[in-house]
Amino acid sequence: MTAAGLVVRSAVVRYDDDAPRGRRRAEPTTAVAGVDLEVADGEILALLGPSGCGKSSLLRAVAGLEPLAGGSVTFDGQDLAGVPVHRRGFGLLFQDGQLFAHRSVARNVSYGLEVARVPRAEQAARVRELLAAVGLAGYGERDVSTLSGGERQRVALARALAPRPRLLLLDEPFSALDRALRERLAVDVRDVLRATGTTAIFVTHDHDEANTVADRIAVMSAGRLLQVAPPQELWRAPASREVAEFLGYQAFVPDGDGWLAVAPAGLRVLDGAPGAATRGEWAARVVGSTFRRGRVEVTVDTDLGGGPQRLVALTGTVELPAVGARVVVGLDPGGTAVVPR
Amino acid sequence: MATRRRLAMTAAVAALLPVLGACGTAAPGADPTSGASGAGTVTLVTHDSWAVSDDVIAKFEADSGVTVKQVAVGDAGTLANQLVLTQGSPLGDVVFGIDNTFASRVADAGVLEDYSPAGAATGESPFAGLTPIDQGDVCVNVDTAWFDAHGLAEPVTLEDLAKPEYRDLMVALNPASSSPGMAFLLATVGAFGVDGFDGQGWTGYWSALKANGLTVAESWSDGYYSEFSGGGEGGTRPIVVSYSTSPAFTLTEDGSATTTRALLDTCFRQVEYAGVLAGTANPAGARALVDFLTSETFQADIPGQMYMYPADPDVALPADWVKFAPLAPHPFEVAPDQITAHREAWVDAWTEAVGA
Amino acid sequence: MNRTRLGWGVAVALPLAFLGVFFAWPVAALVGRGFVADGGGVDLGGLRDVLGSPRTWRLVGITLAQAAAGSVGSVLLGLPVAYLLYRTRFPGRAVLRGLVTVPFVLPTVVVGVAFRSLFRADGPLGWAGLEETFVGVVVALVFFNVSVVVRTVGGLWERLDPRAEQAARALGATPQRAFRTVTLPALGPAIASAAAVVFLFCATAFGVVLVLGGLGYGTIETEIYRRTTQFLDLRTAAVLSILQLVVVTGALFAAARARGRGERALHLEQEDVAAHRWSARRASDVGAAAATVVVVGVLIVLPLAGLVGRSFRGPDGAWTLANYRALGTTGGRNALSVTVWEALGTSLRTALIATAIAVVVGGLVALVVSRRPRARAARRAVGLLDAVVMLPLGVSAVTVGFGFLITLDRPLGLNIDLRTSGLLVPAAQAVVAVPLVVRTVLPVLRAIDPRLRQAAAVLGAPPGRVLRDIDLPIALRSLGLAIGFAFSVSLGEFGATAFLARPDSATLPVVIFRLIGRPGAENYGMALAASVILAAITAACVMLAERLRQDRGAGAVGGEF
Repeated sequence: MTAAGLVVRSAVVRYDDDAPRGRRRAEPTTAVAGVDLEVADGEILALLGPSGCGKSSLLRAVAGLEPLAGGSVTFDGQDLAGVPVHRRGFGLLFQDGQLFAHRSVARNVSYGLEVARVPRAEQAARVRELLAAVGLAGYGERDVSTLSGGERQRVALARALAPRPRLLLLDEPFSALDRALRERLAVDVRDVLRATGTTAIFVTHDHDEANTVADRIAVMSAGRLLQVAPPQELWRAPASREVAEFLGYQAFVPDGDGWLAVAPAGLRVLDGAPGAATRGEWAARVVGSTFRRGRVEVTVDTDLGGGPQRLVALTGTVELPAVGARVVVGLDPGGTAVVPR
Repeated sequence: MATRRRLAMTAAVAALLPVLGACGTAAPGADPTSGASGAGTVTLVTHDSWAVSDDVIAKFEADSGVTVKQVAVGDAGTLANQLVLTQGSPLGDVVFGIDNTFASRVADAGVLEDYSPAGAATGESPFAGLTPIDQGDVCVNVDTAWFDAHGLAEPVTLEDLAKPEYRDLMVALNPASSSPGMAFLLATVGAFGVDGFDGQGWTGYWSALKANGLTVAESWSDGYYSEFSGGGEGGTRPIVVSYSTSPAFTLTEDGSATTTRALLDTCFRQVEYAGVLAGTANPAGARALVDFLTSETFQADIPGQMYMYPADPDVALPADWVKFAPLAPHPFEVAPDQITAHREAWVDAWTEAVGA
Repeated sequence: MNRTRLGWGVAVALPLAFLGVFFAWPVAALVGRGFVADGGGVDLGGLRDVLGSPRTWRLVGITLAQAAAGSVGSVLLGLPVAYLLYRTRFPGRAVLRGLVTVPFVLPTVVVGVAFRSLFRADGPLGWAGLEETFVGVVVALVFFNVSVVVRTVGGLWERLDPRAEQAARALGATPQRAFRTVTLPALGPAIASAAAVVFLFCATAFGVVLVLGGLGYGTIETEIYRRTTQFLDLRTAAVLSILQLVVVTGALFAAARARGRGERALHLEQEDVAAHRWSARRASDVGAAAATVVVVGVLIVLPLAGLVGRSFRGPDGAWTLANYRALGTTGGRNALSVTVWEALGTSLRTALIATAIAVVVGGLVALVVSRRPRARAARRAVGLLDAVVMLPLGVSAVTVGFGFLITLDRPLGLNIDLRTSGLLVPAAQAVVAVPLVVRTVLPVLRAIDPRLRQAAAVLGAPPGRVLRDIDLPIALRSLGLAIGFAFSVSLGEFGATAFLARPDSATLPVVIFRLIGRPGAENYGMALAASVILAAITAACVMLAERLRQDRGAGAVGGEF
């Protein structure tokens, strides 16, 4: 058992919902159903899962915003049961920032320092330092209502980091932003977290974002953790078909005791052109094709052994095959993974 | 902008502080008595029409050593009923303002101490524990100027009011919401009983008034100012139920004459009583205050303050009153226990006779 | 954690204790007396007698009809005004908003006098024949309550995203159709909530009905007053009080349902962003302006102007300041024991204390009710508190006032006779003002995203600090308005004050009432001048509060009144 960092044991979170009209009482909803998780000092862990899988609830339980119905949360060996939110020394970044509209940018960032009674001069220096770190140097006196969505999230990040939290919890911090901004911010956040050596849990439903930011990724579904692993390992060896599906594996070919999972780029049209060695040969019919990111993606109907399916295959050529054309497809071993059944 | 706001807040808080401080110090409760008979605080429970000159009450306080706390609780009916309701836990030590229409109910409820100043100049009352303090007549008033202008003879009696020549001219008051309205209802009860007015009784009389175009106001002020042509507020009807003293307040510029007249054959007398409340913590002080209310000092203060006649017939009246507002020589009467027994039924019967 | 729990405990206990001592207990005690037989024991005979009487059901019918007509009238007339005042911008809007709110806080005594002279045969509206009619009463009730609709609906309307309506227009809907199919449904919950509150006010209206209703006109409320103050017929009054409670609870339930639905997702803008500059080219703007001119002109300005005009005239009809000069005296032939200015001082002092109590109690209730506890039972309790705190608006002032008499001689077993204490009047006024404070502050507190508080907590702020740094600055915006409302309402309160024992200091409405009841034209003129002063002060309070709210810039809806 790790002494340093966060340890979650058999955590359970339940919600006591209102009974629907006409029913006397409702069953409590179990959002987190017994999760074990460890985050080492200085590590960034991504909590990945579809909406409603309980990842935000788990994060809020760690923050102390939801009581645990079972299990424990400890940090550096200290059990946090009974430690209220404001004494945990964690930071939390919400999806929409939740900036204090009645305070300026600088007064938002300094809030945690004010509460901790840090001397004023020190506060000012720290605010300057953090605003610079998130790329908003000189924004201190601005009214938060004048900021763009991306700027708000940067201010929220600076605010969360200012008191030097032992653990930073990020709850889908970029999901409200557009794609390009999201990708750029993900890189920025990773850099800032690395530079400050901050331990962090990063909740997201976007595996690209998880790959960018995290040292390890925990995949969550229906209140349980399915797998916890570094990004490459996760990608290479998904623990189950469910994990693989969530990561975007598009087809599953029966393979001995398990499945051979086919990644989005794991299927090739065998057109005789020289290319990577492929495995297997299946007949397929072209349904459509598009030119994307410099490559031709062909949509085909085929049956890889798990029943007829519509899949996407890559070709080595730049010509678009005709709709209805008969082609042969094969698997790119680099784009497949073995998944236990 | 921010500074202005902060200033406003500070001002509000600053304004509030002394007030809050004040209520801390002004705690309720009797002051410690100094031992001498009649010292300490006496709470006088009364109605909204109570008024007394400051120097008069100060004189009593100086002479007796008693501090008087005056507490008003609404109209005469509210006062009487509140006293009955608080039987066993009195609101104060002395009550003033129980009139003869409510006296029997209050006297029977056991809320009064059986005390009356012996040989008081204000006379005695038929009710144990109640001493008469002032009186007044509720009478029909007419706008003499209007009748002059229209060449119509003024009515004289109650019966006259039901005659066709006075059609659409009269304003009465709702007895359910107005104390003079109740008094005038009692005048008609006293005048006609159940078989007067050609056997139709008093309810028949009211039906006749209604048929003759009567209008009913909810309160005295409404009737007198909004409806009565002599009230000076643009009303149109020249006949109204009011007080016998009202003509003293509608004088001409030079004060030599009045433009209205009270019909002294249509009156009911209201008498207001005072008494010591049973369970008073300061019986000596309370009795002293009731004694004082019957004294000449207080009696002389009544006309100018409360628009009533003093109960003491020897006290001098204002000159205008002597001239323009005499009391009725023979007002109609109804036995007090009858009033208590039938008040509700009479009001209901009246509503029936006059109502929609 | 324990200190937090203790804090919430106090926040719940303090308002409950206050409302318990100064409202629930007195009312329950008085109603209870109505069911006790003379020799002790329960007597339910009153129930049978009263419910079996056709008169009772006639009163119930009139009460319901009056309340229904008052609500419908207020909504129909309030909507165009809400549009003009909250959806368009034009110079003088703030003043107009304040003006529309004034009737709501005017003392009923003053309003009764003003309308009475309007409806009189020779008055400006004499031709309409409204004197002592059902319609006349309803018109006066609409005068009082139209601002409830304007404020409640306007508060939502000004934040409604105009793009939904624009989308409907782009899809080919006429302006009328777009309004009917898009805007009206979005405003629905606010309209329903306002209508329910107006229904409540109309069902329990007292002074206006008494003055304007005339003979034979009666509602449950006036009948309770009559039975209690004139006949001490507690048996009948108790049954009527319960009937009234049933009507009121129904209205409150409807209001709560409507508010609940109002919490569904609407796309709201920051206030005033959605408003456009008034334009003579927009048919809707012109129509709304015309409707507002009629509503404000006939319903509000006309009665008030008549009052003001008369206050500057002498008994002979000539223009004069004599009535105002007389305010420094005790009236013609000493009609009063204090001067009007002294009474005004008493009123201001009383209202300040009442406001302080109402803001503390109402603020705490709003704070508690704004939270959504995790436990289901606690959530239910919070919902109940939300409803219960509205009840003082729906219970007869007579019942409360007489209830005080039999319970406050030794409140909670303490040897303090509160019945004749100087604190009783402000406490009674505060009971009436608390619901207004709650309804003003609550929507603002509810609109605070709970995650904002959580963000502060995670940054290390203990619960008390979160309240100070998050809830307070945001709530202060509406607190200004709440203070303004509470202050004006206590300033003009007459019903409860009139039935309470008042140690020698009379408040301004009581003095006005007394002046009107005294002979002498100069006293009448003085009463009108005093009414104008009272109206001007209440108007100034509300306008100032309104100003404060606007200064605070963006934020949540400014209350449900």
